[in-house]
Amino acid sequence: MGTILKIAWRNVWRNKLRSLVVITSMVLGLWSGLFTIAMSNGINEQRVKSAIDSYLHHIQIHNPSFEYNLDINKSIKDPLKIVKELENNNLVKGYSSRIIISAMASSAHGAEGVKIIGIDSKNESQFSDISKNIIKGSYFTKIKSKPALIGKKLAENLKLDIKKKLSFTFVDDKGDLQRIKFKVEGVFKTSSSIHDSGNVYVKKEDLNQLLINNSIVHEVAILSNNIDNSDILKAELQNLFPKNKVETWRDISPELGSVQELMIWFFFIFMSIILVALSFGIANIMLMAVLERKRELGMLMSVGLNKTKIFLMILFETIFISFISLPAGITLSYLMISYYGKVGIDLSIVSEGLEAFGMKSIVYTDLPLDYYIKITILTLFVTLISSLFPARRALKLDPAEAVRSL
Amino acid sequence: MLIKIAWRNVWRNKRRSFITIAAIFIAIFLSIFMRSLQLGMYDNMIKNVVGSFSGYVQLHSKGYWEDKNIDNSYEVSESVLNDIKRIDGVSNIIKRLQTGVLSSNNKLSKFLYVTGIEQEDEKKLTDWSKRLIHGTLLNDNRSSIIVAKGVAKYYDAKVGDSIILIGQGYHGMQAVGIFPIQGIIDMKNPNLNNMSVFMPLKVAQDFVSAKNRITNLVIDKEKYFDEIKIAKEVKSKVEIQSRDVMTWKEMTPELDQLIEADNAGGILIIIILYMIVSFGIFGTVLMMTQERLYEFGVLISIGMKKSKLMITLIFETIFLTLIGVFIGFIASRPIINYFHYNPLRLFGSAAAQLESAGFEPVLPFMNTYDIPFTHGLIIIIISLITCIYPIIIISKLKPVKAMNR
Repeated sequence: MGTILKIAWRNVWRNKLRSLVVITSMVLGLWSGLFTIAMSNGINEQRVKSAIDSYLHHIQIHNPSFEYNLDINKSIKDPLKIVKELENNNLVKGYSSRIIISAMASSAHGAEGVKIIGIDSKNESQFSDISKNIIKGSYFTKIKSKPALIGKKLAENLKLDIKKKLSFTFVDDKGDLQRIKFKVEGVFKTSSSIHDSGNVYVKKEDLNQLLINNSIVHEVAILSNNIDNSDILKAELQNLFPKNKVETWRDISPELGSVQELMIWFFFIFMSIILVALSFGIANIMLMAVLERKRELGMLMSVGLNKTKIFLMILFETIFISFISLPAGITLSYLMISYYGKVGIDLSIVSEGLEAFGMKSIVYTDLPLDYYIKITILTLFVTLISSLFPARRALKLDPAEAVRSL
Repeated sequence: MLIKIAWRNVWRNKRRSFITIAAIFIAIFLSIFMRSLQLGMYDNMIKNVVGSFSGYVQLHSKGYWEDKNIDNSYEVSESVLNDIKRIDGVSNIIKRLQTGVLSSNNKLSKFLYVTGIEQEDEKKLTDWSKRLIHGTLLNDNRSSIIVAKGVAKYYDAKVGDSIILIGQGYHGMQAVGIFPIQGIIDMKNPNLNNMSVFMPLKVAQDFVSAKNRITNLVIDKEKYFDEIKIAKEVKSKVEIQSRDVMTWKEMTPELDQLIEADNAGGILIIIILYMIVSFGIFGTVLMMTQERLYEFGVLISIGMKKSKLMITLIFETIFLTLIGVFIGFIASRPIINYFHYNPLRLFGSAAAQLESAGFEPVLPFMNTYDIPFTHGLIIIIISLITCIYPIIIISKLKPVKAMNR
């Protein structure tokens, strides 16, 4: 056995150019495949993260019938108890209770249906990314009387700019129609243009003055200490407050999660096609190597090397090549993915359109560890199969005839 | 003469030729497979988003898209309709009248888009009966409405309830009416679900006092037909300055951009695949060259010019590649067609979520002929490039050394 291994190892290096071609193609194939996947995975993670940080958060609590028509009177039951629980729950990192009013926003240029979100400006600046998303103007610092933050898309639709006035028309909690003017203090831009076209942030106290019920709360947004704890926290809160509806970010925006699921599908289809291409390359080259060595193999057979050993010799030769390439490819990928995961790849030159879909122009590559493991197993499996073909072909040689061939 | 030698060389050593052909076959097969999958997916996405409702091409009055007002409606004559119908690639045309109204029921009110449709024609675009959740489809003679499920949820309305619609009619006429709900439909699109009400076209024309007028003419195309070409044809057929022809790319630029961005990734993947198959082809060429060094040496020493030998080799490569590409074409065809008609079906939570977003959770393959042609050409170029290696080897070849083994 030891001798066979040794012979196989030496055979690998007999034709250096050939072995290098196979090794390079495997290393490059693995690296480029993994790197591309890490890149698209990174883009997706960033998109999810930015949506969560700026408007989805980990968990949201509403009145169960609030979501269909944003009825101002469908407020959260027992808001004080919820706040007390959130203060004491050690899974909670932060929370924000908000007033939400469905209104018509109008400027001199038209009208749009919007959601007015009343926030506690100090708490919110720490809780969410709204203050960081301001691209023009400021975050509740300059304008004293009734400031509002509007989305970029809404600003475009209504041709609004900072320091301009816009008015809201809405039905208050008594059922009366109210019309009130606010001043645009800042324009924000998030990863979702839908969010940017239909949401306005104002100070909670400005809304409270307009309503009769001062303790009304329509939405409690919660950040857990770890995003993976969202489901546990959701179950806990739902159990404590059965009259309200508790949802995680996945419940609210299932499409963000489904992109991820879909990506896993593509990951495997894509990687299988690459591996099929690779394994055919290997099988072809090894097959040629066997047929080229017809005479030599015939000789070995005639001097008494048995068929199992011939078979193993060819098998080991292929496996050795993949044992060199596989760790090299995986290590190269790992190093580059972790490097660009920290530094980021600047795509701003090639992709001005990316930001429109909530992608940042700097991409941080990211690939979960289990993907590496799955790929290693898949590659090993595929190369093993592709090594069987040339080895089997070697068995079929007739020693007497093989020795005579050129 | 050289061609003949090359052709005979190909058949002289069958197993060697066979392996090279196999390498090329795999390359062409996989790239066709991959690209058909990618393009089929985009096509399916477009079909799901635009094909089922807004259509690939629409004809409006100029200014309608910016200001969706009933005053921007128009009359369309039978002869124009027939002209459009006769354009290559047009499969259906559908008339619609759409206008924004304020709706109200009990204490609630909501802004909606009312669309007057011809139910029988609409069925050619999408199977409406499959999307119907409650009630029945529209009847051209009854003035009742179908509401999208989001609207029904908003009003907590059931079949049989009525909704009041208040809007602006043609040329400042008033448009007010109360309409019973005949059905509730799932438009498979959150935006449409929250905003849509449908009524028969004739009823809608009466409602807004715009007899015979429409706002959108939806032009549906045959499969894989270029909609830009259709739009151009329509433009030339409808020689009226006040009309505007728009394709889905202009009507839903977000989808177009999304596909463009994704396609950039798809092309990157194809390049990676090509890189790997190039290595595969190069590997076989490399082995073949080394195997034939002795033969080359003999040929040169008996007086064959190196240039002629190189040309023979190029011809051989062309023959082998053509055979491989040809077999790849033929072998991929039934498989692509199979997956085109029986697309891969996704399962699990990804599929359920796609379905709720209005996408059919399938991955159909595109079965056009330009995919195999483009990629066949690329493979031929790649294998000609790999020919450089044996050419270099021949140019440096020392016959005596080569024969001495």
